[in-house]
Amino acid sequence: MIMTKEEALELFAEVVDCEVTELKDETVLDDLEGWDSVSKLGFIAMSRRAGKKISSDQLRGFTTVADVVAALAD
Amino acid sequence: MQNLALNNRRLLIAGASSGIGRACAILAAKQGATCVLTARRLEALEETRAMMERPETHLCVPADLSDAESIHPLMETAVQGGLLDGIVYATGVSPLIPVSALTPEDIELTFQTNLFSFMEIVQLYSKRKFGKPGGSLVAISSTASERSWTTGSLYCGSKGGMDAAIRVIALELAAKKIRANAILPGFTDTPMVEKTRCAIGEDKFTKQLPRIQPLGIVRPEFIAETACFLLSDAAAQISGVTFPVDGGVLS
Repeated sequence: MIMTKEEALELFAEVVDCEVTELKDETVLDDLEGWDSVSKLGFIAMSRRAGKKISSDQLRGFTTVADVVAALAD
Repeated sequence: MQNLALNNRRLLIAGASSGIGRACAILAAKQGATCVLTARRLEALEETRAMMERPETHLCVPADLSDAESIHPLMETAVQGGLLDGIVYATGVSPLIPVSALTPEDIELTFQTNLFSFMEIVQLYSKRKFGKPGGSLVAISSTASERSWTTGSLYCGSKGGMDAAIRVIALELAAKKIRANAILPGFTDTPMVEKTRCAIGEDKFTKQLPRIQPLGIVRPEFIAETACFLLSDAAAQISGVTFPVDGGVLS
């Protein structure tokens, strides 16, 4: 499934319950209030629903929003 | 106790057209809350509103919670006047059908109204677009979640689901200081139980009730007292609890 950068950011904003405008490429994930063990599982579920299989190992490698977008967007 | 005040709270009361939901709306308004009342029948919601203090401050939003599509629009409308500080989910159906006579439609309707729509409302409420931090979710479950009633498989099943879900909801929403609890009413004097009384026979019901519910039939006002307590700051340390208000039936 083709996903644009905008769609990837919208999905991620939904997962961490924030506005898309709060997410910059260099935003550090650990600085996001909504990024915790529960929302990480939510991210995997929502990504799968959008046709993207992200593993826990991959997830562990994400440091910034740019990493998330790179994994989701085509 | 000042902690019981609900001033400046905005609450969604689902099932506010009658019974327990109506009683909760009336008491919450008395405690100072502004309420968004929802149920299928607008006239009945307006009746409830007329019984509440400061009727002009409350909003009636008719919605059919047996229809999953109605939930997002309901929540969008509810927060137009401000984010929600709490929800009382008092919507439910209690069909009495032996398992051998169940149809897919019966199963779908009961679980949609009693559990699935509840979960969808919670999903939306968990987002900061709808629910303020520090809020309180009160689910009206039933002693049916802990006791078996012949022909009540759908009702008991859906309420058992609600109880188990509430514990997880409490865990997950704690980060936002949103509490989630369930009240388990025993046989309560409401239109829903009225139907059961007719089905069993009024005489039989009146004779049998004291044997199983020693304090007699529960008045909906007492469910409302517990709901308003759980919505208030007095219950700030209570979450994930299933709270019987049952006239002694579980004992």
